[in-house]
Amino acid sequence: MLKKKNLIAPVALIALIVLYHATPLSEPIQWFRVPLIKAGSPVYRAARAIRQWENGFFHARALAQRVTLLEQSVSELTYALAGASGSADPPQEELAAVTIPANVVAQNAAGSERTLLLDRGTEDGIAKGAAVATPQGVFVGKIISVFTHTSLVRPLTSSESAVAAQTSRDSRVQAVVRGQRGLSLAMELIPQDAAIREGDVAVSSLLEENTPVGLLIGTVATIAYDEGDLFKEAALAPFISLGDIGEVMVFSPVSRVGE
Amino acid sequence: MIRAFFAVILAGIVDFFGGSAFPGGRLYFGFVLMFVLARQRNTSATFGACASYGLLLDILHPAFPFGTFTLAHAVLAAVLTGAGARSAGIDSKRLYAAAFFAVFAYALFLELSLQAASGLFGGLRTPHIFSAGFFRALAISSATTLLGAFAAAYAFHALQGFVRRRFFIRS
Repeated sequence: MLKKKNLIAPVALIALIVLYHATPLSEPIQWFRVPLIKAGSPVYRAARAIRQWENGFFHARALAQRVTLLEQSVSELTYALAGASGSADPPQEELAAVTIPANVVAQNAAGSERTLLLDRGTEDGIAKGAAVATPQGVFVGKIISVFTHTSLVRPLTSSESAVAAQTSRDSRVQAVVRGQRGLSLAMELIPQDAAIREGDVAVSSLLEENTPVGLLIGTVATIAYDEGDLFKEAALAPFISLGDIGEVMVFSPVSRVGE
Repeated sequence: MIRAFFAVILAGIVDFFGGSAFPGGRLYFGFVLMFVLARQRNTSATFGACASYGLLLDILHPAFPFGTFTLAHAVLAAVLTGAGARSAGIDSKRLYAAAFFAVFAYALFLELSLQAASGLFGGLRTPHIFSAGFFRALAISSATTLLGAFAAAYAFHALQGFVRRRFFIRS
């Protein structure tokens, strides 16, 4: 009798899992996700604040040096942008996309990879494959799963991620940026005759599906090239660390919104 | 039982939403709670906590097939209730090391379950699971979890003592 009683709970759990996959029970169970995310998002914000405080406390000197370098970089880019605005580059086809603001509510680590959970889903017009960037225009990653009220982003640094990229200095330099074990980025398949040098900025390419051109990906840190190779490879320094991401913009193609 | 349920839900929310802020990127407060319940030989509360924690992670974690966490934690409940009597006999000197290895083993078991589930039923692929960086992240996360759990337990006892002295004991 006691054994039978002990079996009730495991059987109930297995029945719940089977019903979730075999019947429309998945929808009511997903309703629980929204209040749980609402309850948990302050925890994520508090965790981000702790991380930022810890960074400030332990790395204040390094951060001050980095700010100086970034300010220098911003002024150089502003100067380059002012020069480029007068140039006669052929107009590029812009992606017709709706930008949907969203918040990162959690980051999950599995294996060596991380994913970001957003508080927007199909109800808000988000579609699978849409590009995600920070409000400052830094490319974060792409949507890999969409649910009614939430969606999941695979960051560019993930080993499973590969996006078409170009350099901001010369849009003819087309290559592929791959993630490196969730930590860094590598620019591959750069033609050997491409004029690319350290410090160049890699941005999203027109060839990348569902992605606006010019989203910032990273800065070329080192270039590897062996005599006789068909392609060069460059290591990129990402613009932001995943832990610093709070608000993002999702670029959902117009045709998919409202589907 | 009800207290264990609410505590495990709270721990699950902290683990899921707060883990990314700490070195290693993961927290396992839920497991620490289950470990404590198993050590107290509270079988029904251990099973309830494991099932609730697994179900909570399944609802929150959309990257893996629903049921992965529930089933993994059901297996864990069986292991913990079996090992509960043995862990109760560990003296306080060895408890810290035993707790660290238990959290590390749980973390590894969970990652292997996710790997198996995504391999069998689809979902997020988790490559490079056996890299040195991965094991380092798990070890750091386990140590961070234990430090946090001991700090929380100490703070809870201190608060409990303060409330008792302040409101219930009159001299």
